[in-house]
Amino acid sequence: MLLEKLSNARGVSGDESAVRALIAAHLQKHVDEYRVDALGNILAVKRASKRGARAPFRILVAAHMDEVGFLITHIDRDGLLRFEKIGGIDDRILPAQTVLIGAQAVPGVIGLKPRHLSTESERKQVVAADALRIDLGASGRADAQRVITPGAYATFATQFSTFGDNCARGKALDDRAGCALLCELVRENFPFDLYAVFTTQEEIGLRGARVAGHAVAPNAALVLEATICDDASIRSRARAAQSFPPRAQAPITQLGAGPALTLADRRLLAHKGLTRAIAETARAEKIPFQYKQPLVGSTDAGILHRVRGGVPSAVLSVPARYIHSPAAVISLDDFQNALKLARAALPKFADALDA
Amino acid sequence: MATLTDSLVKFAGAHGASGYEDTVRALIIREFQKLTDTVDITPLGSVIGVKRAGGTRARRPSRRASATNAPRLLVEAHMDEIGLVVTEIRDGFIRFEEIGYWDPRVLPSQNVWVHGRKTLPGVIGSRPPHVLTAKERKHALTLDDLFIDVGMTDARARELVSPGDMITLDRAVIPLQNEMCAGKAFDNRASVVALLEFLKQLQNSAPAWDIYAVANVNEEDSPFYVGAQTAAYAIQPQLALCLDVTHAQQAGLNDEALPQTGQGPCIARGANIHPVVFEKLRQTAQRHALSHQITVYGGNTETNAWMMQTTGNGIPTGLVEIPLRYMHSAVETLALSDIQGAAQLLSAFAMNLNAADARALQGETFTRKAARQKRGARKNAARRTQRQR
Repeated sequence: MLLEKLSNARGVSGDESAVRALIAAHLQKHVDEYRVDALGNILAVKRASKRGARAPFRILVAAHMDEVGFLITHIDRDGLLRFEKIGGIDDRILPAQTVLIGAQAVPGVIGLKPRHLSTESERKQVVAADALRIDLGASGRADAQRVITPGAYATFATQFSTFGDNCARGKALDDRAGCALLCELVRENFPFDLYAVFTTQEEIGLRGARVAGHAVAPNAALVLEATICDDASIRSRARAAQSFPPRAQAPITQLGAGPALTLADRRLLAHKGLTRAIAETARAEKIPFQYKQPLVGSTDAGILHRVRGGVPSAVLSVPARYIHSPAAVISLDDFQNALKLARAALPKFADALDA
Repeated sequence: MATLTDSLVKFAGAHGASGYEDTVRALIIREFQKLTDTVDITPLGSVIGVKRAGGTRARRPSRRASATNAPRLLVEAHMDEIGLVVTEIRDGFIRFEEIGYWDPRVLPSQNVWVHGRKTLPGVIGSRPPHVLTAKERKHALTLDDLFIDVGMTDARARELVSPGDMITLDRAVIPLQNEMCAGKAFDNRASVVALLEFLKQLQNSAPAWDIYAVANVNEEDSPFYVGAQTAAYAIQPQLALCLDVTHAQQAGLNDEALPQTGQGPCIARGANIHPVVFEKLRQTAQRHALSHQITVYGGNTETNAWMMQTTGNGIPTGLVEIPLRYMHSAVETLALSDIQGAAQLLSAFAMNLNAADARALQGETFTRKAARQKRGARKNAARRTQRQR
């Protein structure tokens, strides 16, 4: 499964080459041309299957290749590695995780000192990432330097697996799920020019998309993402009871309820015409979908919609629980429905803009 | 080291929290059957394999605990690991409590197995940073914040999972640099591996003592070390050795008093340890040039040794420890050479034991009658020498 390979591939923002190689190999079979730009974005084109009388309509469909992870900043004298987080990672999920470092995928672990040796008050404190170390089993700095140099990137070491009721568990599903959807879409023939754009550096500020959008100058853009899903009603026993009145915690999206359509997020007011076209297509084709709770998160569309003179943009996402963690969870039903919906809705974009 | 790695992968990969040791026990029974003369299970579930003094004889299983008059050496390791247990299922998600001594801060985003009617993969859920306030991100997570996601609807989850089902970490052994490994349940499967390695090293030798290899239940979940206590009571050994793991120097600690991984097993010393046993262990290590370290405990070693020492009429007890980093987490880290070293130390120790050692550990007895007889004998002897003069 391509999704599995993409999830296991390692590509922190700024170091996307392994993911890029995987995607490029796939694109060679399906697109007319592609190029890799100065930021490492892949800009692939699949031309319209039938050319109409009017000028070709260009739709940019984007998914980002990069994932959250770590950068090794220093090797301590005792051979332990200091690191910096790349992208939004909650410090609280780091203890007892395993990572793979550098191109050679050297395994390391993030240890927390045992409970036996911690005080009661220490156990109530979050250990900040800069106080944690990656342990390679190296005997000292020189020993660690044999296999690692500062500047090496590290990712979570989780391997993708399917589980439960047609769910998948893996790292980097944000946004390899989107990459996998886009890789599926390029197999199709569309009546418009499809610019399949695999972007870099999304997690550190939507940087790849800025230049990719500029270069393509599309008529419309669709971003394929994995988005926040906080639907575990069970999530906090203690604090639900503490706060009075109980604070309503919105789930943002629901797992298994279909792909999520963005109305607005922190950086985007989605184009109404495109969003309506997607929703109407879903209803007509009986594909389940949901609206993502507005004003949370942001995607490459946050930059794509304002390149050059502006680009009408929409976002379609696969809900992912525990996003930015070593083990995100998606529903493969949502994934398939996202693919169906994108495939059916994209040909309607041109008319939606005319209307 | 390759076979040692295989063995660690096998035993650390098995799942058995305190009270749920069945799978691990079955694996150990199979190994004991190959390596000892008799295998017995105690009423609480500990496994006792006996290798008779003078070498392995007939492989006939015997129900009799002691068939020779040789002194008995008990060498034990607990086979249970810390784990979690299902308490509640709500909307398909699972709430849990701890079995053993956890810091909940090592649990978020860990992959787990839920051992229900089927063994289900799951993940301990964490909330995305995007929706958390700065204040929430400073709140160290407790069990009340944590839940397990098995990717199922409520109905399906309820069909397959019940309160009381065991949950364990899903973590394969990770090979690190310098023949170190990281993984789950090295506490105390590393010692189980060392115990089996010890038995293998004794295969072609004939120790003067009966060797009782014991894999104990219920170390992690109770302060009473019930598995070790009851097994030691059944055996009533002249000497008991406990094999366990101990905290090593590691990230987040700046304590040079702690032992180091890769520098050999630790021989413990303190009130919990019989001084003769300590001395004999140390001498054995020195005589065989085995690298070793000394750990010191004023009182409770927080191992099975603590309870075995006071079992029955009291048992001279020793403790050999394998240094471990990040204890009670999914990344417990150790050096394979320390497991090997512990096995070597134990087998050299067992081979050196003789009848005099049993007498040295007997303690002392005084009775007025015996003393009078002794005095009388001395007087008689003195008279005899006078007369001879």
